[in-house]
Order: sequence, then C-alpha cells, then structure tokens
Amino acid sequence: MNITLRNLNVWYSACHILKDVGVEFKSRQISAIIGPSGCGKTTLLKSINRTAELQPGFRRKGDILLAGIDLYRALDAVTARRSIAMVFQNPIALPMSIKENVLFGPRYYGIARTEAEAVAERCLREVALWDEVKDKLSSPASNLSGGQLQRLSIARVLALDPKAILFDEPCSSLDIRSIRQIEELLLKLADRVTVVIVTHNLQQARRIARDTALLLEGELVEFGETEKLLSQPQKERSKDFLFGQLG
Amino acid sequence: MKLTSARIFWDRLGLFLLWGSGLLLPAILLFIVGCLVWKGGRVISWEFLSTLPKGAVLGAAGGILPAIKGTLGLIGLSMAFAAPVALITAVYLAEYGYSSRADRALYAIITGMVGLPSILTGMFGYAVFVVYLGFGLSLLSGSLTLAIMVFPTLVALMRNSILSAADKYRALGLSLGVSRWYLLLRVTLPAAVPGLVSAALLAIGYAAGATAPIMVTAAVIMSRGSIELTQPVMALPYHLYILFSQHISLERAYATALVLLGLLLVCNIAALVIRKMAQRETGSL
Repeated sequence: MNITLRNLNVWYSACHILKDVGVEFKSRQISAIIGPSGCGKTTLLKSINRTAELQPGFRRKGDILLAGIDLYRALDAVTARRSIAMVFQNPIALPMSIKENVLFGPRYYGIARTEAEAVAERCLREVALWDEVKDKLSSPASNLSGGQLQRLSIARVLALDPKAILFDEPCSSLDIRSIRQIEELLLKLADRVTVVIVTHNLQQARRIARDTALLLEGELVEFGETEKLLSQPQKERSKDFLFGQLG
Repeated sequence: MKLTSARIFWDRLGLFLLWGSGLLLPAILLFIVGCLVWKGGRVISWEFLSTLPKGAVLGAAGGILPAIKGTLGLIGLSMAFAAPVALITAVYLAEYGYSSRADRALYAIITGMVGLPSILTGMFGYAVFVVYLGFGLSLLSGSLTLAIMVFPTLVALMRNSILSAADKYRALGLSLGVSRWYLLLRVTLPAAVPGLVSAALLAIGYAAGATAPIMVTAAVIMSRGSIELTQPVMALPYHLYILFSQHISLERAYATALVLLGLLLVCNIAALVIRKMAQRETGSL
C-alpha cells in the first residue's frame, strides 16, 4: 500500500520543521530518506506513524494517505499507528520477557491464549531471532545484545501485522554483521509491506532502496530512483550535500 | 603539560575532599549506631522486647512490647490510608499533570506541603480527628494524622518514579498502537515499582520516627498493648521521648532507639527484596 504525502507541513510550536513535503512511497519496495542531521527525517516518520502529535506544540497542515485513506481524518491515532508501525533508532526492551515484548501489541488487541505462542514464534522466526532465544523466551528482553534487541523490536512490530513499516536509522548502533542481518530482513519484508527507512549511510540506501528522498532543512529537495539520485543529482543543493560530504 | 608539585598537591587535596565528604555520612551513621549499641545494647533482651513496662516509674523496668506493637500499628494503618491515594494522585500528576494550570497548581501545593512542620499536622489531626470527628486519642486519629503527614512526600516521590518510567517508554509504547491505560498498566507502573517501593520506605521511616503528630493524637505513656482502632497506643518514639525527658532511664531510652532503628532496618531489607524481585521480573534497572 502506497504512502502518499501531500503538501505536508509540520510545526513544533513556532518551529517550522517540514515544509510542503509531497512524496509517494511505493508499495512492496524500500524507500530511503537521506539528509543531514536535524533536517526533519525523524519528524517525517513520526508524522506518518502519528506519534509526532504526542509532543506538545505539534501542528500539521497537509495530508498523509495510506492506500488513499486519510491517516489523520479517517483513522484514529491508535489504529493509524498499528497500520503504519515504526522501529526506532535505539532499540528499547520493554520491561518484560522476550515473548511478552513480541506480544505487547496483540495482547492489547486481544489474542487467543492458544494463538499467542504461535504468533510469537512466527514473528521471532521472521526476524531470524527464534533459534537464538527459543530457550529463554521468558527471560527479560533487556539481556539481549544490541543487534538482537533491534531484531526483537522488528518482531514486536511485525506482530501488529502492519501495512507499512518505518525504520529510523535502524542500523546506526549496530556492528557490521548485525547490519547485514537487518538489511536482508528489510529486503524480505519489502515483499509484502511498504518499507521506509531513514539512513545516514548512502551506501546502505544504494544497497537496499529502490527510491530515495533527499530532505534538506525540512524541504524535499529531490526524490527518485536511488542510483540516479545519488550519482546524478539535479539540483545544486543536492550536489552540495551528496558530493560535499564525500570531499 | 607538566605535572608540577602544585598540580599534584591540588589533585590530592581534591581527591581527599571528595572521598572525605563521601565517607562523612557513613561515619555519622556508624557513630550513631555505635553509640546506641554501646549505651543501650545491654538492655536488649527477649524480655525487653516481649513484656510490658514495669517499675515504680513506668518504663524504669520491664519491656517495650506495647510500644513496638503501637508503632507497627501506626505505620501499617497510616500507609494503608496514604499509599493507595498517593499512588492514584501520582499517576494522575504524571500522566495528566501538565495539561492545565489547575494541575500545575495542585502539584505545586503538594510539593509545598512536603516541608510542613509535623507539629502543625499534629495540631490539625487533633482538631479534626480527635475533637471534631470525635475519634479521641486513638490509633485511628494517629494513623490518619501520620497519613496526612507522609502524603505529600509519597506523592512527590511516586510521581517522579512514574514520570521517569513513562518518559523512557512512552514514545515506543504508544507507537505500537496501544492506549495510554494499557501502557500504564503493562509497562510504566511495573517499571516504576522499585521507585514506588523506595517512596513507601521513606514514608515508613518518616512515620515511624514522627513524635510530634502522635503526641496529641494517639500516643499514651502506658497501654496494655491491645491494638484497637478506637484506643490509644504506646509508640516507640514517644516512649523514647518520655524515658529521657523525664529522666526515667537513659539506658532504656538508648535501647528503645536501637529497637526503632532495627525496625527500620527490617523494613529496608524487605524493600530491597521486593525491588530485586521486581527487577528480575521486568529486567528494568
């Protein structure tokens, strides 16, 4: 399901964070968002996940659509968050067991006692964590390593059965092996859900993203096929950012 | 940069001051406990803990059992009154407390009450519970007065521990599409348990040692140790105060203080166990 942004403007109090952003993240592929720190990438994801509005002073103009459905008018926040899930930069273990971390969402929506085990196993298998944790499902999730915890975060989100998943720099605190695992996982997930990833790593965008959006100071400067955008940017500002930082 | 002798001197001095101020507190505690054991330790016996006060002047001989029972009763009841209400108030303040001016004012008033002199709370308890509501000098009046005394402290501490748990998990929890209630019950409160236990423990210590509020609402010099809501009770801090202010027995005053301290130590250990259990359960720090 496509995620469409139309003239999206977001303010925190007097601060104008996103300016007239219009873009379409296509279904069943990975789209990347790149840009310098503080350009509004995370705010963009949080606006789509509808958690930006939790911050006092949040104000929005413009629309966000999921498969044509207005996220802010047609859905309530809780449903919207469940449909477009988000994985944060720093993986956090909820203060409960590994299994309960995965089942955190389903337990709220209501899941049959008999199904719970199966859901937990399916989600943990999907993120390739099952073999590592199957013997300690009821031990606290906080004992896991960084890479494991990030995969657990993804399993927790998969249990919601979302239509799209947003990733906010999911690899920034991980080692090379864990990064590879996560990237393979993202490619696999893109077979059935819309995946949007914020990354600081241009090589990562090259490796996994079909489309890439370049965000500078809250404005969407360019959007298009990753390879083309990264090697032949059209605008001066894009060139400054892309080639300036490579020297 | 060269390490001159002046630099080494200041470094050593700084280190000494840091260590020294850190060691000062345990040293004071050690001194107090040592003093109590030294001066009152000999009096402590099973008989002292398990019998009624005796003697020509009451307290000069015999034990302090009614005072132990009275203090336990006062602590238990006052916590039963204060803790649930404080928890609900703290949840409200942590979750909704910054939404309106009235909420902020409420919090300011509650934290302001933390410093209220306990003798004022005692006078209030006397006027309202003892006289106006007619509960008389009784366990009930004393517990309610103590509950009012510890309430602001409990609320302030509980709010802080709930807030720090909420801040850590709010964004993540809500991003998973659950309600605030669900997040509160499944994540925030369990994660806050160690902090809540600490708050309760501090309140218990505060209530156990408070003398002024119970002097005028609950405590008597002698009781037979029956614990009834409508009857007055003996209490350790008040007994202690009588023993040394009336020059009955300084040695027994020290011993009584030692028992009070021991009681608080037991509470501390219990709290430590509960916290460890909660941490093992949730894996939080």
